[in-house]
Amino acid sequence: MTQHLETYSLLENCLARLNAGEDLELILAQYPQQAAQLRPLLAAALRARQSGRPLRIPASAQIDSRTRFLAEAQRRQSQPKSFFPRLNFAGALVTALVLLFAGIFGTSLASAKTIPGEALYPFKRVVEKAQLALTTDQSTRLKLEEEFDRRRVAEAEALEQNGRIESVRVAGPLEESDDETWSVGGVKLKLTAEQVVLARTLTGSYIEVNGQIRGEEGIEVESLELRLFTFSGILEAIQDTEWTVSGVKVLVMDSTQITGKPKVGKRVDLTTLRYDEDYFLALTIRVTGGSNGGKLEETDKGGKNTDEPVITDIIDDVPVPTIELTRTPEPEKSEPTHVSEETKGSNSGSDDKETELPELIETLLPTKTPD
Amino acid sequence: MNYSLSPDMDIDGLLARAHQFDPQALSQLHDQLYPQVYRYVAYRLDDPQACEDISSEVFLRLLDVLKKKVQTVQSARAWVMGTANHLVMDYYRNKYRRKVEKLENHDDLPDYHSPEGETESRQVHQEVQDAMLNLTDDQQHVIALRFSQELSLEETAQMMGKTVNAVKVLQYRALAALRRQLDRRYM
Repeated sequence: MTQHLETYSLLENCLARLNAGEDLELILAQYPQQAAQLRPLLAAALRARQSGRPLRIPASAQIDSRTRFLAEAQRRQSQPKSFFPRLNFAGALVTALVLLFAGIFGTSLASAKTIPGEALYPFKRVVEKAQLALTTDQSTRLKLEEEFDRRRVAEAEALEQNGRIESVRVAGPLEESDDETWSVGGVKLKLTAEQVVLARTLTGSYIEVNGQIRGEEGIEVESLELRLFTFSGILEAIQDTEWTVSGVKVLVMDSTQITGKPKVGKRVDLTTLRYDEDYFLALTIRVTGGSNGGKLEETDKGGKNTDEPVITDIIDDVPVPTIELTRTPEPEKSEPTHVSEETKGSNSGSDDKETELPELIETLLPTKTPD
Repeated sequence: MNYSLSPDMDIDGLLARAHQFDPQALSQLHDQLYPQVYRYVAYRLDDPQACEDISSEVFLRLLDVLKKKVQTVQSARAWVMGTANHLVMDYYRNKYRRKVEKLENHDDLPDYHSPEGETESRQVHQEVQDAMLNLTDDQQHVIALRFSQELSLEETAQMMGKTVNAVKVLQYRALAALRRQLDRRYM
């Protein structure tokens, strides 16, 4: 038995040496007694290794898979819905009070210029969150999020100049300059070789970086990922692949995971990426129901009463009381917000999005070279 | 494509956030694991569409067990690779017979995706895949883990939930069996 174990270990040693690039014959020459036994096994191993030829993983496949994964997670999570809708209202109240407080004491102004590490800084972030929560117009809210992203960048620049070391999170377009230095919104990044490989696939995309800023050296990156924007609103128009949701232009592609039956007038939740200045690219769209079941087109005229969007998610991770504005409290409406399993079926409105959009993904990842 | 500094480190409690279905954490987890899963599946099948479908299905199934069974990135990786193995086996059980018939009838068709240099490696790939189908599940799994992406013995053991010695024995037998199959077919 031990003798057998030695043989097994010997094979493993030889495999390791083969992997390291040593020549089969040279290896075998060292074990003349076992050579006859080892040779066929090592030859098979060489074949097996040759069979794992270098393989390009299609970026579109990975993005599709990620999209399905996120959409499925979102679908599962939405099944048991929030038990205490009133808490959300309480959350809104708290944020309103914070804003009021900020207004009275002028702290929001005072804190506007603070940077991470300073006493008023957390306050600045809470005020920002409150502003976001109270902004009901979706396109304004997304602009605001981007405005806050720019503030993070400006703060990082200030930290860079002060030579401070702080944890930061910045978001913006990822750029590579001619001398191969990387930056997000102009702030320098220190990337490991492995991260550079990833960065190459994301050049030009709107990304989010977490890390430590170390003065002029820039940000030592801990994680680097695509910046997701989530929001919800009323689906106002569907024109092929271009949809409008509460004034925001959204591109819908083949791989966009659509749950429910999207129709003009219905409320939808979206997870998106920044595509360019004008458009967001939808990863997932979930129909969360219309205001009155089926005949929704009419709401277009009156507009305002249903158009007030519900903010379902604030992306930033500073824990602040749940910020979710509910519409004017109407207690009789106890029907749960999520759509039931009409999921898989006909996406009547979205069928014509077939052809155009796979290349959107390619553009999102501009460095992808064709095979 | 890894979305974070070190694929094995549970940065910022990635798994804890993934358990909450936090989209950022989930996409980070997905992107860390996807390339390995894809490579593994592509090693075992020659059908790009099935390869994409299976890789994607692995992640949907991960959602079923994420909270209960997966506490570290490493255990997530072991789980997805094990599931990839099962799905590949299912694929062959369900569909392979029909496909083989078709392929065998069209063996002489030119392979239009392959530039000259690649033809040979595609052929090797095909041979190894065919030969592997006659190995046991575990033998196929160990060969794919070790040779689709050069995992170390220790990593392979971890993924298979076996001891290092057990994997040594298993790979020995797997290579012996592979060799016999290749001999019978091509050598």
